[in-house]
Amino acid sequence: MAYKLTALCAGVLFGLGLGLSQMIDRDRVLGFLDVAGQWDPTLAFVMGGAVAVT
Amino acid sequence: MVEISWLNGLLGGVLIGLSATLLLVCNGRIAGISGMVNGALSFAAREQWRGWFLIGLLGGAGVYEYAIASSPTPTSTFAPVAMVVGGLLVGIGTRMGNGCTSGHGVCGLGRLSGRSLAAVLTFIGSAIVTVFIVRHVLGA
Repeated sequence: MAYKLTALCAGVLFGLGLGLSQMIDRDRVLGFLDVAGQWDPTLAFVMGGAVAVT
Repeated sequence: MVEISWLNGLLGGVLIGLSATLLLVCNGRIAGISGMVNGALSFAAREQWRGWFLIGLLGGAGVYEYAIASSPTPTSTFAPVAMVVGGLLVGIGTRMGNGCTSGHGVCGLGRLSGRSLAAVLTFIGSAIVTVFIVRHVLGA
């Protein structure tokens, strides 16, 4: 039971993180990958923040 | 449109990192979304926690979108067939590579895994090449 509750909480945190960082918007993800256009480095900060905490 | 919301990105990343840490420390599991979906689809009793994680994931994103977001997130305008084919390719690729952005990028890099670093460099590199060809060579 606690095991599933932990999984649920982790999921909620993950979802809020994706929303807050705007990584639920495909244009922001594509903007990071488009290095020859108007490059959007937000994704790098998202990964940096996540990796640093993990 | 392309304003750099690095602070939001950083805060969101910290939440994702906390999520991955919580799951790894308390449950000893890796918070990879592709593996989560893959495992949940087996419907085995011992994989049920994956379903709970996915429910939380959708719920958390929903709470953000409808209660916190200042403006609605733009929705996709891709052709349905392109999304189905793209989704299938992502599914096949993440199983072949044993992980996706969350599993390799967040959990793997956080644990200093060499295999994950190779995977991240490969999929970000090939994605950059794909976007370059589609946007700047084909001009779509």
